[in-house]
Amino acid sequence: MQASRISVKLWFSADDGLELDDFVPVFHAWIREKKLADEVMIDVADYAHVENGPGVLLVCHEGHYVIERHADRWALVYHRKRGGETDDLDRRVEVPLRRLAFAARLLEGEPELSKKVRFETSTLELAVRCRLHAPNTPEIRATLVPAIEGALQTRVGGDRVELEALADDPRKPFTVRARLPQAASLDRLAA
Amino acid sequence: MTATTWKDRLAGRLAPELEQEIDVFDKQLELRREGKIEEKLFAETRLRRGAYGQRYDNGRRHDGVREQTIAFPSGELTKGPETVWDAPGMMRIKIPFGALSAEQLEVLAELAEEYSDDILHVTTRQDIQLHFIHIDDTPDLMRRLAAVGITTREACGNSVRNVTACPTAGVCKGEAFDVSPYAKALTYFLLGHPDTQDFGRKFKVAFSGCMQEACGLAHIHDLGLVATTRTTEGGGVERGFVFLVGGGLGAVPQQALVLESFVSEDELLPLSQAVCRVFARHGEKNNRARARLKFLIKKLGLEKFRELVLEERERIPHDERWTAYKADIAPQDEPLRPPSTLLRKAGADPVFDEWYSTNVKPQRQDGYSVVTVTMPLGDFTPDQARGLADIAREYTGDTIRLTVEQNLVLRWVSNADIPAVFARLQALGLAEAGAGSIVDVTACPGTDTCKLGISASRGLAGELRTRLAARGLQADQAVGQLRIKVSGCFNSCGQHHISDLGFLGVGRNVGGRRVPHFQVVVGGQWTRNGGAYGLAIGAVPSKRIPEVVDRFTERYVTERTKDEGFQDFIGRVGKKQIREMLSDLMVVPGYEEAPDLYRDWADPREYTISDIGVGECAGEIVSVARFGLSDAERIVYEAQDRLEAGDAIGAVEGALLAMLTAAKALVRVQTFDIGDDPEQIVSEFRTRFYDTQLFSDRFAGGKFAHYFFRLHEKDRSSTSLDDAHQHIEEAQMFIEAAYACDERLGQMAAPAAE
Repeated sequence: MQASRISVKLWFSADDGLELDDFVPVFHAWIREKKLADEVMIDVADYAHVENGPGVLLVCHEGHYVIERHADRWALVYHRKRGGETDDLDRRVEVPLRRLAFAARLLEGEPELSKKVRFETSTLELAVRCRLHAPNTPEIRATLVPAIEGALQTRVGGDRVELEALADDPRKPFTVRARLPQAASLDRLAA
Repeated sequence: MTATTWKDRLAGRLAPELEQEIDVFDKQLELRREGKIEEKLFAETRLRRGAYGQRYDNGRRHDGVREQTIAFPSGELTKGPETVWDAPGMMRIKIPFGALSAEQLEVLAELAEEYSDDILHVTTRQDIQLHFIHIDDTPDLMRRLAAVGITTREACGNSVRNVTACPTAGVCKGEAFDVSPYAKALTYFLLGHPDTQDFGRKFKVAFSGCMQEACGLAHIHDLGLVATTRTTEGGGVERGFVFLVGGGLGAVPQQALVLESFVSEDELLPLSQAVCRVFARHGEKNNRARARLKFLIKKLGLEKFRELVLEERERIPHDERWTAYKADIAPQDEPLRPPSTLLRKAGADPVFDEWYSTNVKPQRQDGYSVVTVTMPLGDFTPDQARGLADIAREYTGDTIRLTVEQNLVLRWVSNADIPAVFARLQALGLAEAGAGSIVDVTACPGTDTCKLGISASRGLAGELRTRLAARGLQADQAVGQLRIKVSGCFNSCGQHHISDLGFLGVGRNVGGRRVPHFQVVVGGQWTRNGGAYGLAIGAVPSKRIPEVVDRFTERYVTERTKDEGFQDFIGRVGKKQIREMLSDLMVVPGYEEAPDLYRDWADPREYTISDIGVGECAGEIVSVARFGLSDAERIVYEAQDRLEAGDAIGAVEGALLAMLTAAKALVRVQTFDIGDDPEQIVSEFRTRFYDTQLFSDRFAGGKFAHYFFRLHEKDRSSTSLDDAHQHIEEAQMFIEAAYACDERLGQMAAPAAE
């Protein structure tokens, strides 16, 4: 698979009273203080007014960091847009996952957030947003699921990862939900 | 074998001319990366393909404390003056008269996911915009759109922009007739037309089914066509248009004037073409601030302008397309389900009732209604787009239209299906009530993404929507139907001039610090096709605008006389009193006392205007000759590629085509009426440039022209690789000579320095 537009998502819980808007100054501060060394950070976009939309985005050259709140469930997503062109699938999975975990760790310790957030690392979602190389078809799922399983297992140090392909709508990007072993902490994923 | 590129995947699915255009653009990207196309020319090229710049694309951004450089990897490579190659841009996608199919919605959803930020944005001109797009992705994006019949060509730049029309054309009770097929015909007639390639500025066209409503907004357009009919001598009914010209908003708003009170179907296209020719020939090209058609008409006077248009009309060679389109005047869409009656008890579901009262209107055709889907700030997601496509496939067919109020309408909804459609919209998060009401605030992108934005138009619009909805004002009899529109700067993309309450972004300096403000503009007329422009009252800090709205609405409710419209109320109260009403809000306390005023909506950074960049609304002025000569260069590079591949015949034909293209580019400087016939091009070039010695070089004389004539006359069927190589070299010298000639012509035409 050549597709490099890989998105990864981790869910988090938050204290009552947290709003999407609370993340706007956080992302602005990250740009000002250059908190993400791997990224060329560009801007912050606020789509809190769109139901089940991308919420608040930190727009970077190679990808976007998105705070979502869908059906009252919070998540941080990293959409890789460019820069991942390599034949090595492990590497293509590793970089967005590492960046996501790094950002998640930052958010957990973020002083600008008035409410605490706590990431759950038992489940993550991974999507391949490239319909040219990875359309959401049974054939592609049959090939990609084991490959991604292997890449994720490498990432978490060899422990078993269980994958489930989400096949509700073939028009949507190829997406899998992964159950990670208990040892898959943010530190581990960000390493 | 699995396709590895979108070009391969979509082979055979694109119309050949669209495919070729995109291939040319792809090649131009490659040439720009290699530094073989000049940046200004490339900028106008990409603008004419809908690839627009965005804020911070000069590589600088103020972070609230200091200006930072954005270290894009592309370094010094640019895609236009002060526009870094890697900087994300915006893709404007024309949706002619707002008509979208389910399949097109699905493809747009894919593109938003893969290349953009998961948001599709409806503009105030019925376009879709996708933001944060990388220029390298644009050819594939264009191919995928072309595969479903959408072109981005001429979405931006000095060209004919998207042709808009009433979103209820064809189903409206008040229309003279359905303008959709006419909007479609004019769209595709003017698209890429030679007579529309040499404008000094953009050109906007709108169709309206009637004069009294708003929908088409003909009065604010360069060319406004309002459907009308007249009775013929034989007692029949003839369709035609009130033909308006020279409207526009911006810093100097102007209402369009009636050029002709009745233009027949047969004359619609040729007369529009004649207007374009006059604009191209006589319009201002140097002073960009005065280059719109409205300024030309003001300068000439309407009568002189009409005279020039009618002269051009007589001169234009006949074109079959002027009337061929009439064979396709049939209704553009048809119902999917039979007509029916809505059987529902009012009061059974207050949420549905509220939505029904604002978002559903009966159609002209009994048993059907038009359902407006409110899109907050014009934004919707890929999942919502797919959901809308599903609704269309199940209930309405491909009858979706976008609106200039940044919403979407579903037409031909059978009345009995309305509750089911509502439930589906609710599941998608698209069942907000209040479409077209005071809570349905429209805004341009402003400082969110636009390089010219001065104040946060979207931030303000979002705040107003929330506050007004919380007060339930959309249901208020007096103020519920007032329109609020917000523009981020004086360019008026939010169309604030024609709203009841309009706001336009301005900045003010207070004690050495910048404070975001909005100029308050009241009493515009939305109806009658944008029939009148509002009054500017004064500038108020951005964070106090909700208070401004409160004061206006409260005073209007309290003081209006029976059934007095808002525009009349404003006229009666008068500017002086209104200004007095707002005067305390215009006083800005110092930073220590009110620091929040020094930040704009939805942006925690201290306000600054240093992020304002070089706008691309005005495009780049590139002469029609330059475009042609650049094209000639591209063709000669491709000829070199063929030579390297051992294709001598392909290479020599490319060399000749390059010279024909360059020659045609020069001929077009003198006459628009030159086609693609090689014999005609050679003959015209010989007469106009060779015989007159205009093409003669001081040192080489007419030598380079001889290369052209000889190759044209030569039997090329058995050319060797060596000969092909030589002809390519000659073609390059001919093109260089053509550039020099164009420069000399420019110097001859320029006014002499004092």
